[in-house]
Amino acid sequence: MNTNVTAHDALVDNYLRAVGQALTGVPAYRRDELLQDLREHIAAGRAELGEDETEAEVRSLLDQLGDPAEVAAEARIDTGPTPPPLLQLQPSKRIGAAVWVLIALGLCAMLCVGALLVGLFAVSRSTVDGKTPAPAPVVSAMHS
Amino acid sequence: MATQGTVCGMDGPAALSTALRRGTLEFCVLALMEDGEQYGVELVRRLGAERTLTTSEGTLYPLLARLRRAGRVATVWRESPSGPPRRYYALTPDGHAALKVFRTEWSAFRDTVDRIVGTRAR
Repeated sequence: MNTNVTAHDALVDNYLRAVGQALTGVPAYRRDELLQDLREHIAAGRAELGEDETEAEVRSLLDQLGDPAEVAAEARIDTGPTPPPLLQLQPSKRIGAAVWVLIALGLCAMLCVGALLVGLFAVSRSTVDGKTPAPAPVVSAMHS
Repeated sequence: MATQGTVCGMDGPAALSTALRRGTLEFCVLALMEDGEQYGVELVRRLGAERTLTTSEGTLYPLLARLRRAGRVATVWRESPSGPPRRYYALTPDGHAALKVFRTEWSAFRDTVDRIVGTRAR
């Protein structure tokens, strides 16, 4: 058994901790997923090295994986407000949003006009009945 | 790291490479799986050695995770004769379709850029 295995484990742990720290702000499930992928990669590499792995070999394995900040930055790419860049999806989504805004505006306009008409109708009826046009029916009409 | 400005993507060769990789690297990953499932670690090593495409092996794992979430690749675990279980990656029908679309788009894109920039191969 290699007596330095614990020292090598510590190197790996430090590396993974550095990646983990650089991942602040990335959703937990994605952070765990990436750390798991890296852990597996390292485990596979060390299994190939065998029990007489050297510190230099373990360091080289981690160097190949790259700078923790750089790896974390790559994981950050799709944490922004826009979804991952998967070609055709983007434009149609934007068009979709515009359509929804227009529909919402249209509905608002229709509701306002409707409420106004109901209010006017209520006022005209109460005037015909010979009563003074009180605001109360208008308010209740708008709530109905 | 060079002490370049970091305001936009027009500040040096590193920024240019990053911009060029965006949108193309994922299709290189898909293309490597086209002929059949690939062991994840092998895939990452092969691409990691292509220095025009990647900066390091580790940066490929977030990309693979994105492809999994987008449903373009699927993974399966297989026992290994030596060492821990291995994760294999394969294209889904969606992945195959995406690669096909990319090939058409890329050819047209490359031809146009080559023609305008004057980099057409002789």
